[in-house]
Amino acid sequence: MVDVLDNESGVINRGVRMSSGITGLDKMISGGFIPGRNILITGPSGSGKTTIAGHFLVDGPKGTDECSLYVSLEEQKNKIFSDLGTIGIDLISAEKSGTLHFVGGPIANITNYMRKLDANAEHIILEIEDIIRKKKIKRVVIDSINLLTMIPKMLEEKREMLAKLCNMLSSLGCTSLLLSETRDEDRRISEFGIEEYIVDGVVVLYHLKQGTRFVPGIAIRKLRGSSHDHDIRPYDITAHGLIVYPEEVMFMGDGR
Amino acid sequence: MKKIISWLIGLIGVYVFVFMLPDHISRFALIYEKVFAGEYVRFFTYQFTHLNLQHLVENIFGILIIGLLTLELRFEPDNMFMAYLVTGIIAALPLWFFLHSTILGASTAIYGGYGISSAGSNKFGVNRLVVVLFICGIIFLKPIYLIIQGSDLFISTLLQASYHLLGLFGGLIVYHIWSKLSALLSRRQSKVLARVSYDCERVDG
Repeated sequence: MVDVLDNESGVINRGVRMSSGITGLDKMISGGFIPGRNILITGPSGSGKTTIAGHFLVDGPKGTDECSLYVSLEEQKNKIFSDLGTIGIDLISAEKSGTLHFVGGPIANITNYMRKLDANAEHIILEIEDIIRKKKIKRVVIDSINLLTMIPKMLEEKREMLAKLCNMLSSLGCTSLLLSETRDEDRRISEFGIEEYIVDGVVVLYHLKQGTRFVPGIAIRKLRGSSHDHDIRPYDITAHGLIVYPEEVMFMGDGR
Repeated sequence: MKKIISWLIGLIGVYVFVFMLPDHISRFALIYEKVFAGEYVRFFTYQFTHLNLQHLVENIFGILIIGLLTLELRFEPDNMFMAYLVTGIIAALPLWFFLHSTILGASTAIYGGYGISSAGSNKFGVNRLVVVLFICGIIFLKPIYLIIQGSDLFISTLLQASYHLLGLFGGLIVYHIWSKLSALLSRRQSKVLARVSYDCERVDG
């Protein structure tokens, strides 16, 4: 049980937190995510977003009977499972045991079917909602939301679509990680600059240049209703998964 | 692709088979009195009857174009050809009711197929109004030409053009209704992600 500060009333609420599955990250977010919240995990390609998602879905629910859902809107299941398996995140066993459900696949196949079935982003959201209700899902990962935000043409429509997704997930009591890719050299947190306003929390992954190396860093930019670490902390992707060092501080060489 | 070919072979096969039957026109064409007497199935069977070999061959070419359009516009073949047959029925209703004439041939349904394709072409950024107007131009090209020539044949050609025009608009209506119905029914059942997952699992064995 962890205390949660309600920012509106100023009352400290006692409540259960949803572990991220990564000990160091849990320390940065006061023990875990508040249930029913939508968290944006954003960072450049290869920064570890999918790894965080894997930990969230497999390691996070350990000791509970929570069911998880992995919605892939970009990659094939075998590739994801295989890549995460090499660093000790066993999605295959989780799926076999029935605690993890996987849906989706390569982006080309999805867009092809969307055209064939005359489906839009809203249909995808409804399909996800359907699965959540049927399988009583409590943890959701959407990898990534870039496809859903690309489909609507106007910025207002993108915002509306994203708000629909977040409202649906929250209303069903799901704690969700929405993965979003940004470019390495980009200073923006998200692709369209709207995602971070709609979600309840933002976790940013960095590749910071330190001398001749790029060192990975993680920071909590926003987490509604909860106190959190404000520094960029280093992390590593090892053979045993992603490890965050919440006691260490990154040196920001380029002033970011 | 396989499904489109199956549909085409099936439909062309039926056209040819019916054409070879004795008295196929009197048995299957949309004859006002026969329908009035209760032979409502003729609203469906008239599409498979043809006046002569030239008529049959023209409509075979027409249905092949429908097959190509289905492929290019990435329609679901089952939906496209079912809609094509339904358009043939719907377009025949006003023709039978107002004209009381004998109607036969697949061209009403074929133009219905063009109407469906016009309506669906906006998915690729094509202005469907432009397509519809273009097809209307083709439909009325021959009657206008005959009027200019002062030929007596222009009335029968105009009548034929009206069948085709009704087919075209029938196709537009069928597409619109079908889309709305599909959207309503499949709103929670589009199963895009489920289908993608299934395909991937099938490929991976």
